[in-house]
Amino acid sequence: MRISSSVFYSSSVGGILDQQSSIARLSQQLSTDNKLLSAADDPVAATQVMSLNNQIAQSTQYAANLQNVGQIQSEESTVLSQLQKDLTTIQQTLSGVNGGQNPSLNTPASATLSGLLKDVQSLANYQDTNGNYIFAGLQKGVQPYSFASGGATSYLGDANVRQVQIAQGQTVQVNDNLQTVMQPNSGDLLQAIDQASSALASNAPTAPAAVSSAYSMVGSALGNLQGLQAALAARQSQVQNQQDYNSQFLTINQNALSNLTQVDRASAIVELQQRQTSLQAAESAFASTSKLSVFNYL
Amino acid sequence: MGTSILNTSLMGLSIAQANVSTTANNIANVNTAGYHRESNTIVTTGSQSAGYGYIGTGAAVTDVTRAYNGFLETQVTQNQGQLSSYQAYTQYATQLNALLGSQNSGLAAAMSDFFSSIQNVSSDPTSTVARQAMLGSGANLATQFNNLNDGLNSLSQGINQQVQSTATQINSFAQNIATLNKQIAVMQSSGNSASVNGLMDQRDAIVSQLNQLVNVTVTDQQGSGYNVAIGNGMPLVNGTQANTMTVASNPLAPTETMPALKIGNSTITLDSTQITGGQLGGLLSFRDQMLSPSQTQLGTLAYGLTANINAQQTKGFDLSGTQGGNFFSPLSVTMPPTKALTGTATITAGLTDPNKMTSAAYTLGYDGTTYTLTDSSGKVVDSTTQPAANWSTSSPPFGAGAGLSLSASGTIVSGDSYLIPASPLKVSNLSVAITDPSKIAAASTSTALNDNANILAMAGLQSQSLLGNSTVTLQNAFTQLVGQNASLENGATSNQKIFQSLTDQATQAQQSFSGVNLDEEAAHLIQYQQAYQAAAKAMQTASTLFNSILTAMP
Repeated sequence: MRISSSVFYSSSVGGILDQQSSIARLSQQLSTDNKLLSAADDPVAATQVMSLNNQIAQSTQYAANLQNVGQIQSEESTVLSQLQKDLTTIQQTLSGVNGGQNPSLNTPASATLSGLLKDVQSLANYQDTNGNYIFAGLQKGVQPYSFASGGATSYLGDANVRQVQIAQGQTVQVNDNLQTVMQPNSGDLLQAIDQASSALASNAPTAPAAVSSAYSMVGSALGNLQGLQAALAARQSQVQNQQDYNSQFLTINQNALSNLTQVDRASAIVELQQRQTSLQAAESAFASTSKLSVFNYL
Repeated sequence: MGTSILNTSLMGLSIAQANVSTTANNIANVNTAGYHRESNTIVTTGSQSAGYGYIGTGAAVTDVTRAYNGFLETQVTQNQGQLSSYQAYTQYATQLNALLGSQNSGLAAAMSDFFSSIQNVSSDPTSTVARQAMLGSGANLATQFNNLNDGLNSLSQGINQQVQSTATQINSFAQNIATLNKQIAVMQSSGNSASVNGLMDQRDAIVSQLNQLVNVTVTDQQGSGYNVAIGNGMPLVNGTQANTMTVASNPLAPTETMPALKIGNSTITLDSTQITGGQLGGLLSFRDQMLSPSQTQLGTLAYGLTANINAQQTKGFDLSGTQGGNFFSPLSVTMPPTKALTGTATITAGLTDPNKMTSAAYTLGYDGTTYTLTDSSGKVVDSTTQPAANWSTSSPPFGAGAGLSLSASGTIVSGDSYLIPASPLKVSNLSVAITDPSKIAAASTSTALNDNANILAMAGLQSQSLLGNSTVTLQNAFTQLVGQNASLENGATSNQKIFQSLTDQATQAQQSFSGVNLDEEAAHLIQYQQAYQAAAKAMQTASTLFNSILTAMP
């Protein structure tokens, strides 16, 4: 076939330019460690990558939510355990003086009770590290329990609960209030303990009745507290399970993402070498053949 | 006899000279675009009777012809036209896709961050830090929308300018072709074949350049030259007469500049169904297939996002127990004008529900009692009974089935129909309306400030199908937009590669036939030089013969 002189030059140069652009592309893939340099390279993979990125961002957000919730739950759990311990000690103390067989125990019992009462009051108004009262329902900056001088408890919080999203379509309750503990069977727990403690201190004739009433109220308060703790434990395990699932899901998605986007370095480097060799060959072929001309012999 | 030898030798000399000149001309034009190598047509002159037979009287150059093969030329031109079209298309497509960003950048990442920041507020609804972060990521999201919108607008303006400048170039080529048609006709009638070759080369080169701007069909009328039609047969050049390309704005999208052809007193607007090749064809199809749909979908997404976030925000209560106001400044939407298919009334469309909005056009029809709104597939999406003159409906607005509110002024008669086009909905200056983080309405009641029910519902918008008739989430709508544009670019790039290699092959074949090869020309030089020397030798021989007779004379 006749080759026109201009085509000889343009096709030689075209070949060299093609090799150069392949080399530039491979280098860019290697330096960014991303084989999808533009969505148009592989539209299907590009949309998969975007969906995976969205899912990963959501999972990462859920992981953060789960961690927050876990922390709030373990804080509440610690407070509830301490409350349970205090109430159990109160129960034991009341049990020791119940029936009034040994009046010499009354004074030390009263001292123990009034000490524990302060502790329980302080637990009921527990504030987290941000200064939020954890048993105030959804009231902000309001100390939930106030105690009148006669020992009567009033609750200034509300009965609302807050939900936090831990997975798509799944939320978990993150707060409780202590109303079932503080007001068991419509009675005022702390007022009853306070009254028992005062009666014991003064060896008043009402002491046995007050102790007996407080004793039964502490019993039902403990029962209700266990109910709260059980529900909390169930939510903690829900969070734990979701954390496990979420991190598995995250790993699967991250693996899928890297399969889609990561460059196979070995094959990319081999191809880069091949292209370089081809480029050198094209360049040297052009350099040597372009010197050939019949005009050199005229 | 001596004279006839001299004459014959002289003819040989002048043929060799003419051949060397043609060769020199070929060498000179080795890199001239559109040049076809030329060769001399040489025929023997008659012969004279010498009694015993006939002796030839030499040869003469009768014509200079160019190596021209119409089939090969057409192959190159057609492939080049398609190549230019795909080049223009992919050039813009690459820019558009770079703007949209993919994978983990741009708008996709900003939307993801925004919803994460809402989740963080829901985890700790009174935290000023989390609220501030939500305002920040909302502002970033707005910026991403605005940047993208600016980018798409500047692509649109770039195309408008290029349509305009292409029209100007087309006119100058059309004028050139008309002028060359005239000159060639004059030259041909005067029989100056060598000059005609040069002009024909020029005209073919201009047609080829024109075809790279807009697809052309050329009919060679011989005597009156080339007739050139563009697109689907619109006459641009008729012999020595050239029509004028101009521009007009798209009646259904006034910001778009369309090419138009002025024929006599009428101006015909041309669209991508009429102009299917060349740079202009590529620009128009890019705009129709990628740019306008992207603007519409991005607008729908921005509108859907802001409307839904605002609706949720205004349902809740902020940290001071006040009902929430808009989170984003509400988008103002300008709908494109409608078009009367038949009828004289003016229909005005407004947008009410981004979820119901699609990028396809609707048709409004009237049968004398009932108005019906049908989508592009012919499905009736809304109907109402209204008087035939000025009407408007507000509750519910007519067109609600398509997310539109329609009103009419003027008189509509039975059988009228109106086109409500797909809208290049534009985002303009999206911004966050609130600056005080406590104004985020996280609570669903005014009495419990630590409540997060409303912000939780807002976070839940991320996984709800809020667009495309409740089939697609906000983020997936954007993923679809990116995917669809990536596929279009990918297709155009493949086509560009195909037409590049087809053009290369066709050019090689055409050049193989018509191009100059310097080695060949060098060989010709030697050949013609020898012929010249031989003719000179013959002349010398004739002279010697003649002299020997003269010297023999006493």
